[in-house]
Amino acid sequence: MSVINKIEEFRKQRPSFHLFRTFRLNSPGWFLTSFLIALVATTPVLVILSSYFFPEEDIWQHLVENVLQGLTFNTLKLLACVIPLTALIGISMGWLTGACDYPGRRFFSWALVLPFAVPPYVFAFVYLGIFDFSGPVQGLIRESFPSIGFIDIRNTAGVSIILSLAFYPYVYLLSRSAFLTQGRSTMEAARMLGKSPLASFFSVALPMARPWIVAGLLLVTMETLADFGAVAIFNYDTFTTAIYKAWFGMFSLNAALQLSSILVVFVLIILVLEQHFRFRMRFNESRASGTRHQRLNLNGFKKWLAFSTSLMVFLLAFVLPFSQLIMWSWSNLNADALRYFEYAQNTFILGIVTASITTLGAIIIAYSKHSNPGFTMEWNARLATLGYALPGTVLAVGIYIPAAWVDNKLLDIFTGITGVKMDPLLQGSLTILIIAYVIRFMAAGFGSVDSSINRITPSIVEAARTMGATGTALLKRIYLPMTKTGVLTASIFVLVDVMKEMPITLMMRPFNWDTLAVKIFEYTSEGEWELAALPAVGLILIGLLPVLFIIRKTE
Amino acid sequence: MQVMSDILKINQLNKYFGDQHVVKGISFSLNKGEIGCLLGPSGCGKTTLLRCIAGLELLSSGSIFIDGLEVSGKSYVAPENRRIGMMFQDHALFPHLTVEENIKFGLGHRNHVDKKTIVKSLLQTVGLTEDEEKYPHELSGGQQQRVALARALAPEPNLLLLDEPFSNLDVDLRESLSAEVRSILKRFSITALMVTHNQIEAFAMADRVGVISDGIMEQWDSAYGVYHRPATLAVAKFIGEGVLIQGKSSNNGTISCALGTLKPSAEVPQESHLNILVRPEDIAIDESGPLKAVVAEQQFRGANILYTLRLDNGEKILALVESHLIHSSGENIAFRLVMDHVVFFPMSNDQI
Repeated sequence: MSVINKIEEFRKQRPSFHLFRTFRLNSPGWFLTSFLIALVATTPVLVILSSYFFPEEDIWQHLVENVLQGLTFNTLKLLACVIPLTALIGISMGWLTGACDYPGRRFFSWALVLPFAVPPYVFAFVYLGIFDFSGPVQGLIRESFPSIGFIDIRNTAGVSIILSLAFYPYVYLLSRSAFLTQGRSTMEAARMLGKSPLASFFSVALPMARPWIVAGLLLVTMETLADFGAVAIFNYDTFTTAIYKAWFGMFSLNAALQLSSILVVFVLIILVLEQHFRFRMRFNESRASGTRHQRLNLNGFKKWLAFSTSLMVFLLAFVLPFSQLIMWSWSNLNADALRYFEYAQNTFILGIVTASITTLGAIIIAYSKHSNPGFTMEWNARLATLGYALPGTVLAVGIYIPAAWVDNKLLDIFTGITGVKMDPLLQGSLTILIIAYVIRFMAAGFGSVDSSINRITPSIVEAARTMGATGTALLKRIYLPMTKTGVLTASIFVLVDVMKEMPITLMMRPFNWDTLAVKIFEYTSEGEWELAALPAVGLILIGLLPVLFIIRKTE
Repeated sequence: MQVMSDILKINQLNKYFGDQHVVKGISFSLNKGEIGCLLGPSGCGKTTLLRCIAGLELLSSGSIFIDGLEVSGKSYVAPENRRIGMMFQDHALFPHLTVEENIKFGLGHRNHVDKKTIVKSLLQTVGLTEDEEKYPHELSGGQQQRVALARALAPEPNLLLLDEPFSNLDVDLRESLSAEVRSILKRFSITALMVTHNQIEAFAMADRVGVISDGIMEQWDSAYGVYHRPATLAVAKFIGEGVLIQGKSSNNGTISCALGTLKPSAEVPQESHLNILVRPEDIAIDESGPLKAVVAEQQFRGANILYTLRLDNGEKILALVESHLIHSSGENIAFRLVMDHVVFFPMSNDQI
């Protein structure tokens, strides 16, 4: 008689094992939780899209007549500048560090990822400060070239450069990994068929990297559409700032909802495109990833050109803003700085709580997908992680409306029974803020949990089962140890994302509960760059954590 | 003297990776239309040698001539200017191009109609006329291999290099495709050099086989030659099945061993200890045979059975027998020797 049968018998004798068995991982409970997360995550989108069915004529008319054209034009202008700029910086840096060899190549290959740690709104206010009337650049211009006058960077070009500095790493990382994983044989095959190294790059390496590059650019597009902080600081009106103003300036939640519904359509289109290209990427992966291609040796003038371009990108996108922040923080380092401690604490608590909940949710979704491969759970996971595509302002609107509805229902019931008035339960609570975070950052957590869970092949699970490990034992002895790193990475990614988050926090935080990002927003709205510097340095240092993960993974 | 018909000539080629000596003074040449094969276990340096010929690796010393022109050595010709076609182990088809575009890739500045004609006729040659518009990922492994062949042949190279071309395919396909590739190469009298670790593949494809072990060319010979007249102990061990038994030579050119007295056609060093190669087909099971042994092990192979026989002195030999002649372990068995070639090697001192 086999060992398994003995264990089964043993189980039948002990009721506690039955308890465990109901906790079995592929029990309905897990699936229900998993579906529930997906339902909560899709609610904001559904709420916002449903506004198309209940249009409010006068609001629509006002929007169409007064703001819509300007907003759309502004948004398209921004995209038309940011996409080519990030493509130029990202692909050229990706190609130089991924496929060529020149002095400093190793250093730049990781150093150029560092700007990922700097939130876009920090870039925005640092550069505004640098180009301030009393700042170093304008002073120099006044002294040396008085005829030029004051250079205003609060315009489309200025915002576009700021956003490109913040977002080029998406294109850089993706195109670089495309160039690195192409394997050497396709490039060699091109050369054996008579193409020079440079011609091989343009006819083989670049077209092969196209899906990665497009995926990177789509992420850039999504981030640009979602950005609130940088454009707000630059007073550049886009949908996100308009939604914020409609709600908090005009106190018209309905106008915010209508604006959101337009932005959501933009975003959903981008999302579909992104999924499509992610799918295409599979075919272009080289099977011989073990052997890397030989790098193109740049020499003479070319290698110093490569070096100086890389250096310039690194200086502008990291060294300059970071050192300016350090200088400002240093000059403001006094007893008053202690007040930042409270904000840091608030920020950290939100981050830790959200990270734990999100990671747990990610484990549930990833596990139910893993243990039931197929259409349903695949889509369940996609819907559950939809939030990453939603701009924070849109998400805030999409959550606030159902939360208010639930609150009203609860209040009705409560007052109906007791006759006493009660404060709203969800609106303006930490709970609803955290729910919003969890929806927004589920994808960040799910990604690394899912990829580590995918390493657990069916045969590993089956091997464990034949040795008697099922249910909780399977979770404890196989799943948790094998996904430990993925879970940790997920928590850190989410933690840092929450700490840097601005619009959701701004719009949904409880009264008097300020985070570092909110404080940065408040200081910068008043032009107090120096005061915003210290929290910004803190956020960048925290933000370096996930960046180091990314660097370690790609090197 | 440089013979005109030598398409490929390798002279004393050495290649180091750091202080690792990967290719050790290898020389050989291929005539026009000949198919050569470098055969050896993985890590023996054969792929490095092939990459040197392609120009993808630089030599440490030595020289390579293609069609009389020195391409590596004193001068260096870039891979794209060598007029060499290459088939890679992973096919290395360009995933972003269709079958047709892949084949056209190396055709350079020919006019559109010419290119179309070339692609059409090559696809016909490799038997893939329906699939011009498909992308590589839509093809099976065998079809991808055919496209890779067509692509390599399109620019009419002087020499075709094949790096383990069939190793990613399953066994059936491997055999039929290697026969097909050979007939295509022969039909267009293309000079080709293949690298493989699979001797069946090498024998099926090649006119000349070079056995490489640890960076040294042990033997450069016909397939028949490396099998029946292995030049070194390493070749004897690597090629085919067989065992080595001990023997001792006498003064009159014969060798005595557990199988009796053998008379090699080659000259035998006098009074020395030797290793004699005994292949399974040298043994014929025969009830009235003069030799006796005990069945030690048996391995059923379908058409035949490979028996391991223990001789009186404890040495073991292999015998390949038709599979309906069943003997069980421990059974006594009589046989005779049908050895056409007596292959022997001097025993090293520590063996004695």
